[in-house]
Amino acid sequence: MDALFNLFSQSGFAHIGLGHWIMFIISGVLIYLAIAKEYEPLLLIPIGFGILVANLPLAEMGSHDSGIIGLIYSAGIKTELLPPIIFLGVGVLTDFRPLLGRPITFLLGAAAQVGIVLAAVGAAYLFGFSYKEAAVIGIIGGADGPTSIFLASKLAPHLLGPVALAAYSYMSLVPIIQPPILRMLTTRKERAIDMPQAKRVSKTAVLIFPIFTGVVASLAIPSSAPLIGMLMFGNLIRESGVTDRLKKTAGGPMIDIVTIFLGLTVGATMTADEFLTTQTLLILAMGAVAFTFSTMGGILFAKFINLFLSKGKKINPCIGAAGVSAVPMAARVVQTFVSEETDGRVNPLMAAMGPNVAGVIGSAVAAGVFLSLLL
Amino acid sequence: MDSPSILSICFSAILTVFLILSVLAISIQIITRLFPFKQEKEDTTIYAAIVSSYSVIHPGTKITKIEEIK
Repeated sequence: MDALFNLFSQSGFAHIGLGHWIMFIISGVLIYLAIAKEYEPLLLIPIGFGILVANLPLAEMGSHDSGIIGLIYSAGIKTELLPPIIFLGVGVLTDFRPLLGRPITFLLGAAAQVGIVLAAVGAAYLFGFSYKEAAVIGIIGGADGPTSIFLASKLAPHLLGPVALAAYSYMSLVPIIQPPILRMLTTRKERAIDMPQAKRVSKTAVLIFPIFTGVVASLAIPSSAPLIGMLMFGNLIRESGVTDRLKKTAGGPMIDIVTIFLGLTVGATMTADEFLTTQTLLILAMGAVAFTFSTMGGILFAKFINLFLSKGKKINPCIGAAGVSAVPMAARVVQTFVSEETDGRVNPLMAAMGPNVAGVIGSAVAAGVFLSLLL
Repeated sequence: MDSPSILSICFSAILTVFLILSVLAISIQIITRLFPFKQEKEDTTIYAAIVSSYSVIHPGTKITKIEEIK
């Protein structure tokens, strides 16, 4: 009998506490949202399962433990290997033509980063976070998971879990968060602006873009090179037309493998003792603020640009909301919103893809600046 | 030298983002003017195939434009 009691006392069951149960519930909610609501399932399922296994007492499956997930964390996140590889895959999967055909939408992608700075300032001054922590919290407003993870792993690794959770959660909640903001900041007349089709872009221009952007951005902000360099390399693979095997690998199996590793290890950073703090709640709240202000920034800047454009050339300000870079979710949300508001007469999906992909570059540059000034 | 405040760091960040994306926007404008899109010649075989297929489905229909969306 003593042996049985001894065995039980060494099992995980004997060590489960209230915190673990709360984390199990959080894990269950994420997995439920991923399966039942299809909210970012490719990420929320690995993250949810990572949370689950990391909170199994004595299993050593947390990212800071010595098990397999700890090994992946040390080799993939601490070394900054995985986020740039995700960017490589994103580059392969992204068509920059809508942006190149309407270059003014670059500016909307820039304006939609305003939430990053507002949230960072708020986190530092209102809640007393250190500058590094504040920058990491602010970057949630970029709505770019890999960029958030990349920055957090370098500036504030202890915030990696909540920051990644906030980034991916808000990305998945774009269809809920953005429409009320769009409705609040635009008039019916503005929503009905039907933009002409973007000019078509030559193959040469499409090939020059990734090389030029990769070089210019990396020279200007060298610390953004791992993200932007890989993004542009992936895009060159896509557009060259002669590297079909590389394109299929980088945009398929490779990004899938890395997504599994990234999601699982990020989820496994969220152990009860580290995650269940008031700091986490503040991060989630500030992330929402960042995301909301980024959306507002894009829309308001589009309205500002319209002040200088002639009648036939005005842009639909709703596409500014897509600058938050949750690709392609934000552009789809804008399309659905505008189409519903105009009874299907206006369909700005391709126009919204411009600021959407510009936002990816914008948030990577912002992360690079934070790294340069804070590391 | 004192370390910069979060306010100046954030100001630098948003300014740099605007600056770099503006430079890219202007550069792309120039690049697309230097290398404009040229309409490829129509493939007469594909044109004939589409016209004949469509005339079977919708007799009397006149094809005025065929556009390839990639």
